[in-house]
Amino acid sequence: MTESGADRGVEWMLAFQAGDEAAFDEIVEHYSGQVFGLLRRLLGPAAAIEDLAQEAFLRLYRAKDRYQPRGKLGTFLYRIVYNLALNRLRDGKRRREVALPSSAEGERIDLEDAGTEAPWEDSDRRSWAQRIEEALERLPENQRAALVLQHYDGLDLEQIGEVLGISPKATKSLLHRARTKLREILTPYREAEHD
Amino acid sequence: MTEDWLDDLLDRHPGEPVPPGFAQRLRGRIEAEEGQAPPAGRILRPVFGSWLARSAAGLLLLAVGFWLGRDQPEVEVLPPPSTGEAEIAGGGELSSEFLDELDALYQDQALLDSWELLVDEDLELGLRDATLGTWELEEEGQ
Repeated sequence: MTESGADRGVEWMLAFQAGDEAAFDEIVEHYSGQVFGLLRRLLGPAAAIEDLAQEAFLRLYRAKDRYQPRGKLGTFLYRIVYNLALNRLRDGKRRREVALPSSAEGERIDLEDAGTEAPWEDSDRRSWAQRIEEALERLPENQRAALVLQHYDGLDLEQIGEVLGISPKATKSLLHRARTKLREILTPYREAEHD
Repeated sequence: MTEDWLDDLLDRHPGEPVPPGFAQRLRGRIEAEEGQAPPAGRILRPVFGSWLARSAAGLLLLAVGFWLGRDQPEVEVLPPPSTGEAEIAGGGELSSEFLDELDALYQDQALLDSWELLVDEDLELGLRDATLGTWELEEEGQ
């Protein structure tokens, strides 16, 4: 039996290909939570994500005829979500760069680093979920995605590599860097909590 | 500090709740999109229809053309001009002045043909010394 043979998502997708519309509803029902979770963790607390989640499922719907069960359906769907999120992040970055204010000397002020150095001061006001989302936002896009896919979606190195379009070895190195950086970011919160 | 504290912290993120009615809104969007796209069978019909209409219009134009031209006298087709010597309209003879000009043109052509012209590639125009700007031809002449 192939890896995809045991995957329920693949079975639903094949049934959908064969004309069973209800199978697509099953896919939406089963994967919606994961799609929303991935989008939130990739895009941060402020992003409007329903439209992107709809777009992800819509792309899966349109892929009906050309879909081939090569791996898990989840991996296929995550790849769609990751690409959509990446486009959104890059669009946002481009827009921010255009609207970024300049200092008196004409140098650009980087808003991303401004005001993020004292995270524990308002720790009571913010939930851990928000803090984690903000910490994830400070990681580079691919590190963030690798970490989220590993920790929250339980993907292995090969599957993460498949979503990100890199080798398992490169994925491992990406994860190592992501965890190191995230530890640096979250240590003050953790210490503040223990004090 | 152990390696696990990061995972413990990450586990505090509860995930994102799916907004109520998401599946219905998605289904609505799919149906709206499908409603806009023409069914596969309809794709060829407009093309075929327009081809038929154009053929009918062409046939109609041809019929009208024949009907309008039925009482007109036949068009006289002139024979092609005879080959060989050039003829002047009206059948006149070439003036001696014109013939002299023609001779002069032929002579110029013969003169040009006799010249041995060199193309640029055959000329040795390379710089002997780029820093001094001296040409090979200049040095040979010295």
